[in-house]
Amino acid sequence: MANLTIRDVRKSYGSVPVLHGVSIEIPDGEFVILVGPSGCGKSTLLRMIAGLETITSGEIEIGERVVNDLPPRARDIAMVFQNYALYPHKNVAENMGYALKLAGRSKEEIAKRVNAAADILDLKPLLDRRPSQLSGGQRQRVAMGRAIVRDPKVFLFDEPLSNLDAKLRVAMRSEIKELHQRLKTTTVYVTHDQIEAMTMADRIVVMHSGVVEQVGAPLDLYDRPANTFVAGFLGSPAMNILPGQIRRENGTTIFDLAGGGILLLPPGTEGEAGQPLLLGVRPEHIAVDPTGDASFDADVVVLEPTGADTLITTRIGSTDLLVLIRDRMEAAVGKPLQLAIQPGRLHLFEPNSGRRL
Amino acid sequence: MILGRVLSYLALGIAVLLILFPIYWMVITSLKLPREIYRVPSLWPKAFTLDNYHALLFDEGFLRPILNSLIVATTVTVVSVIFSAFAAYSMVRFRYRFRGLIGRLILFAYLTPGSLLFIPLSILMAQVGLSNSLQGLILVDLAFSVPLATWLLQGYFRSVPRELEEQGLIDGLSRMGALLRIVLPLSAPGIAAVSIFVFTGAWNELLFALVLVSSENQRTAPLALNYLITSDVLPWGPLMAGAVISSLPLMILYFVAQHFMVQGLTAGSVKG
Repeated sequence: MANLTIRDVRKSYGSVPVLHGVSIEIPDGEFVILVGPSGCGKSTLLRMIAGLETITSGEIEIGERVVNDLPPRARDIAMVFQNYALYPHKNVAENMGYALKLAGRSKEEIAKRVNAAADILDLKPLLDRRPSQLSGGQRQRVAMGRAIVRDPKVFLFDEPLSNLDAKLRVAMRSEIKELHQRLKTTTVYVTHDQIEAMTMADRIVVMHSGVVEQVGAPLDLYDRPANTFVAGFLGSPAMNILPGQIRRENGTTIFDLAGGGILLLPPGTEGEAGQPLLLGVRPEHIAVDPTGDASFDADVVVLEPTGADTLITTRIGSTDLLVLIRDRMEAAVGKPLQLAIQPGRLHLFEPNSGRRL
Repeated sequence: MILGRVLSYLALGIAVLLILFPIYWMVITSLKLPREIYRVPSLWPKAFTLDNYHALLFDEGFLRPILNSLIVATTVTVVSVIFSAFAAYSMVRFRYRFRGLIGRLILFAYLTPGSLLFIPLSILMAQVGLSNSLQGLILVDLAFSVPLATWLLQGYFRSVPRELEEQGLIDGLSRMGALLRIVLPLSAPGIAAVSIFVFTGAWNELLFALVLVSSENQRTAPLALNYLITSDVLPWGPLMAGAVISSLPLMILYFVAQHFMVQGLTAGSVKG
């Protein structure tokens, strides 16, 4: 149990910088997820916390102790790798107890702790097996069991679910979350999957090209993305981000799309008129509303029913607008549909920097 | 179908015959009396004798060369594997300046034909006072076996997933510990194969022994066999007996090592 402080950490490979000064404060017991597209530096940062990569500059502190120059074994961390990294020449019990064995613990203590962890993860019947005799999900569990056994200060997960099939991934997601609620160990978890980030994290760190774009609770990031990158990255389907400018006329607020055509914005929408800006609105925050005061027309281009929802691609002028209806829905392709944006669900961004206004 | 099977077994049978017949001929000749060897050759001797072995071991003192060969080949193998394990590990896992160049030089050294180098090397050995000694021969053999072993081991080390080693570092191992307790055990089949290559090479080596060694008690087995031939007289019986004795250690080695050569030890460690 410990807090983790990352202070202006930078990393370069030769003259190529990959992390440009990252600072994150993680209090004891928090589950933090580093999320971002591949190449954003999230795995590098995790490996720097683990001690598997050197730190070019800045400081990493685990439990008030600067660990920059400590080897991985002295950092009191446990890591779960994407490909599990189980020792093929050891059975499950030996895999799980190896760190304790190296630490010189007694056989009885190792057996006790391995058994306790195996109980938590339902690994009891597998303790004698070799990794090659396990399924992907079982290997994943053993890798987690090995981390639990050590009772480390910090758990590190490097995309642990990406080698599992979709169904197992959903099951392991809640299992990891439950495990964290039970053990309350400070956890840093890396993923490129925004759903994993939204569902599991206490706090999300969104990274992009070696910088932290935004840090916050999942729903805060969803409700108030700091810039267009975060807005587009979190949420599925992605947020519509439309260039254009606001115009006010007779008490209605109109958004003139840069590609031609107009949207009507809900009454009371703020934002400076006559300035080019980016309007962000999530597909699930647009409703079909033929009667409202602020309804506008959009042509239906594609209709994609998923059973529970219907995703509709519509077009206004030359701009596409995604709409997600939480129901089944009939609509004729090529015909206009009356849409309205839910009040209070708009995001405005500055067009050059992409920053939230 | 059946014809295909018959043909493939026929082809295999011919291949086996081609490989085994010289060995059979070697063994059978070593057990024949001289008069039978020099008469019209027969596939099965009329009388078996161990005279050739007796003559070789006691009259020619062949035990000494065998012992010398064992010393040379074992030392070369052990030293090569230790040196090249570290060299190969560094080439595979660390980034440093000139790593690529060093790798190419190793390949180049390994590809250089020995016959190009035996004069410079014999002069060098004479200058450092190691000519006509087993130590000199060992050093020269190492010059060829270390690059070969390094080159081969790199491939085996590369196949050990990096994450396994990193997991080891996190579990409490040092770099050295990770090499010794994770990379080496998982590369055991590779190390066995490399050891066999190097041992075989050093065991069979004749050219450098011929150039470097002059005194009788420093001769290796191939060299001693070579010296059995005096001008145009070929004592086939003792020669074949010597060949049989010389091939025994290699056969034993291959037999023992095939258990280690079982591949697929790393299956299931990562993803799968």
